[in-house]
Amino acid sequence: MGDLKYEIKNGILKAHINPENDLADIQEVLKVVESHSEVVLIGIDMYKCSYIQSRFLAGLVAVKKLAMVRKITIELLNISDQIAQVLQSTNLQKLFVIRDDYSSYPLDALCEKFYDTEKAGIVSEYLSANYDDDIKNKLIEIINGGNPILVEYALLTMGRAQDYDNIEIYRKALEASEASVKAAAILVLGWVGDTHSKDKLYSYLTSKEINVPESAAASIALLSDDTDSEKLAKYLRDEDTRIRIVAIYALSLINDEKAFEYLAEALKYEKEEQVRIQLAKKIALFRDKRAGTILLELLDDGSIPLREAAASGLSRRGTGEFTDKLLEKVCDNDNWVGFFAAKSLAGIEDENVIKKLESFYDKVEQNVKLAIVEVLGKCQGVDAAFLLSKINDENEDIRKEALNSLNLRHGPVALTAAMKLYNTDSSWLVRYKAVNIILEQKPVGYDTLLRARLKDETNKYILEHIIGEIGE
Amino acid sequence: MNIKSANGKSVAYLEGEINAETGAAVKAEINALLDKGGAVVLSFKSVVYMNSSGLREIIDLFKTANKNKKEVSLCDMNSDIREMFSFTGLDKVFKIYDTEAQALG
Repeated sequence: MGDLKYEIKNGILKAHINPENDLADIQEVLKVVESHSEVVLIGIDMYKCSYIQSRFLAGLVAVKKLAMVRKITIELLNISDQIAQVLQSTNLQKLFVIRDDYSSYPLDALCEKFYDTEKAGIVSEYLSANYDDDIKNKLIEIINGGNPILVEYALLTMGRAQDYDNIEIYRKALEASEASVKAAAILVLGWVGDTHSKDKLYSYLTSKEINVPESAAASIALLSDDTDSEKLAKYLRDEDTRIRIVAIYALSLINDEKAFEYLAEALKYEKEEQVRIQLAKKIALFRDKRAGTILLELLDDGSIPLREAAASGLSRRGTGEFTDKLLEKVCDNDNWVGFFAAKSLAGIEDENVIKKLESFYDKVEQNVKLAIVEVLGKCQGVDAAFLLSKINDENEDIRKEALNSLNLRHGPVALTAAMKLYNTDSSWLVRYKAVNIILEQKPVGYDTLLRARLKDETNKYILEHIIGEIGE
Repeated sequence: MNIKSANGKSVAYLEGEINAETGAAVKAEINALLDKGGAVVLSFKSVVYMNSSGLREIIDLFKTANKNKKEVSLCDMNSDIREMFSFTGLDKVFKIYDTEAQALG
């Protein structure tokens, strides 16, 4: 029997288990809980244990039983992988809330977790939330140690904690040979608003290293003043695609009139599709009225992905004064123009526009029909009758999209339709959508209904979906 | 800016465009709210535009809150606003939740 260490604070009993503790010690936890009515949460901290004895496990179950009687939550804290496996193999993991509690760890052990890519971010978050002189000194010690993985997270943690007293350390880290450290230092200098470093950050914009130009562009934007749009604009003509895209991001973040004009100009000379798409996406983020006109013109571009970006940008901005022009384009001879014009109208609430879109349906190609049905699902005030009439369409994509749009705007109507289609539609895509709606809305008896379908359903995706949700 | 109380936190609903001017106004209002006590959740649901000047005001707000050991979290961002936070690495600095319900815990 080991010596059980525990404390009770604010109604939380935290028991620190060590490898010497046995059943008698966990029974001690029971006694403590019984004698302290103020306990509302039990934390069993297993930070020091790498394994667990079966007798100890039985003791834990006894604590759980008492916790249930007292309606107390019980948490297993900091369990090792080995203990997690034991709990899983005995099917006991469901009985407990299992989580990490970094307050149990000494600072050294905690900083070692910077090596663990899955936990480094959470540990950094914990340290910054609890930032004090001890943590600060430890992080400075790590930075002086020079291990790049640890240094990267030490810098990010100090930046997260908004430590403005150590700007020289961040500036010095700009000289590091490792890209990850440089990128972290650049970001932190942006977060803490170190405008003195801004000019130097420009030298990192054309770096070939991973994440360095991206971080530099982001921090330059955060530190920007009236002169930076012009300075960044020259990178829109860089021969490296990546640098041009990074400059687009920075200019869109600065979002002033000059930035808009440089981006609009770039659209005239830029030839590469992926850069043009980024330009369209970022131009849509400017409030400038000229942005809408540019996006409208891009709907006629030869590139389908660029048209898609323009349509999405128009829809995001609200089509406003372009609504009539877009409506005209829905019936354009080029059905892709019609397709993207219809998509641009997503979110429109004007009943007249909705009625016009519905009236175009029979006059347009299949892809435009599909876009109309999809867009109506994103429009407040659309009538259920129109969408309902499309769930019998010959085209399975249109039936599926009509069901989806109905679900977005008229849930109860969609459910009624789904209850019919999940059993009868010839297309598995439509049946899958119908099953999704049933699972989402969970009407009374939905599980029995879907279980009955398992006998006749032949599509493996639907079968897996139903079984995954309600079991066999 | 509308503000509501829930779960011991205040939810502040930011609107429209967050730039230097509106960001400074938001900062002043939220600082006053933090002075009264309790954590604050900033909802970005109705934010349409935001620029780096607006972001700087939010960072400044966070800095003051941090100094006074007050909690500020963010929620309900559209994908464009979220991308601004991830591009600048500020998604590592702020607690950002997908929904208001998650932010309120």
